[in-house]
Amino acid sequence: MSNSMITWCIIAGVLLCAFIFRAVERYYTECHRRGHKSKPLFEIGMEEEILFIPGDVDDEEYFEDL
Amino acid sequence: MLTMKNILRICKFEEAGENTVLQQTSAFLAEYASLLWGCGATSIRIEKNTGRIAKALGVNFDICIMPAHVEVSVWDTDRTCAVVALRKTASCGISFNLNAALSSLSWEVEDNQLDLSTALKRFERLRESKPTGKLETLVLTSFANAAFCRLFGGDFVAMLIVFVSTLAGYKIKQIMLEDRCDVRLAFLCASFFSAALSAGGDVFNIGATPEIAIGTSVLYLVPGVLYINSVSDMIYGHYLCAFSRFMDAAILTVCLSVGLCAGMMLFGLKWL
Repeated sequence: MSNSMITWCIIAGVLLCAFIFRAVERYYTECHRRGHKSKPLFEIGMEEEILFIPGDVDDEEYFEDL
Repeated sequence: MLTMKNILRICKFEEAGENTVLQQTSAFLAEYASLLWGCGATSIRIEKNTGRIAKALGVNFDICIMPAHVEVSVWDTDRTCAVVALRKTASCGISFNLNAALSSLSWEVEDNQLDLSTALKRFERLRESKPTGKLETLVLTSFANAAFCRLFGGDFVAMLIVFVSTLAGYKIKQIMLEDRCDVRLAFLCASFFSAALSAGGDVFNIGATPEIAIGTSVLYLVPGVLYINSVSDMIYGHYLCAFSRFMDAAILTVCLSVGLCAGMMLFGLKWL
């Protein structure tokens, strides 16, 4: 890889990082302006919160019926 | 009973009422001219449109257009009362839509004999209208610049390179102007990054016309409207405005040239 290629990759990388940083910053600013809590980019959740497989039992509803 | 004192009072009252109308008219015309200048109209267009409105509103009128201000003088038909309004030119950015809409308003005022309050309401509505979306402008500018590349003989790979480099450069310009950076610095950075990205074709040996991609990658920054308006102003004798617009355009062109040269030098590209 020549020097020119490395320089080009660095410039493209810096630009990409700047755009991503700007987008994230804007997202948080918009959320803050609207007054509601911003959604976290990463979140730890349970499998059943994301996927529903037929036959799964919702514990809360199950006990409500009893 | 009409005493001399009462007559004088009535005369003063009428004069004050007329004065208020003249003040409102002159303020409206000055605001109108200021916005028209801001959205990129030539001086002759500003003169014609404001003159048309003034005539329709039944007032005598004169205008002095300077590079940073417009001064409107309005007086009544018997030339006994005159009002002057001075406004700083609006910095709303060039917009052909707004330009056309403001011209259309002047014709509406004349053709439909609109009164001052109706004209003012329509003017306010126009002033508060949203400009073209930033994303829309970004994508369309990139397509236009890619088309320029084709026009100059670039192949489809070069067009794609120009599209991407314009997208990045124009986005930088938008971000920097949003952050209230100096417009000259924004032009310099945009042209540098556009040139550097489009040099990718040469660096990685992609496509058959990488030099056309580099050359056309900064064309979207050329301040064409300013140059055209400067020539128009010069033809119609507005030499101060013509010189001001020409200098603005020349400085921006120098900035984009410096950015382009810096980008080319960084990759050791030959000038010819």
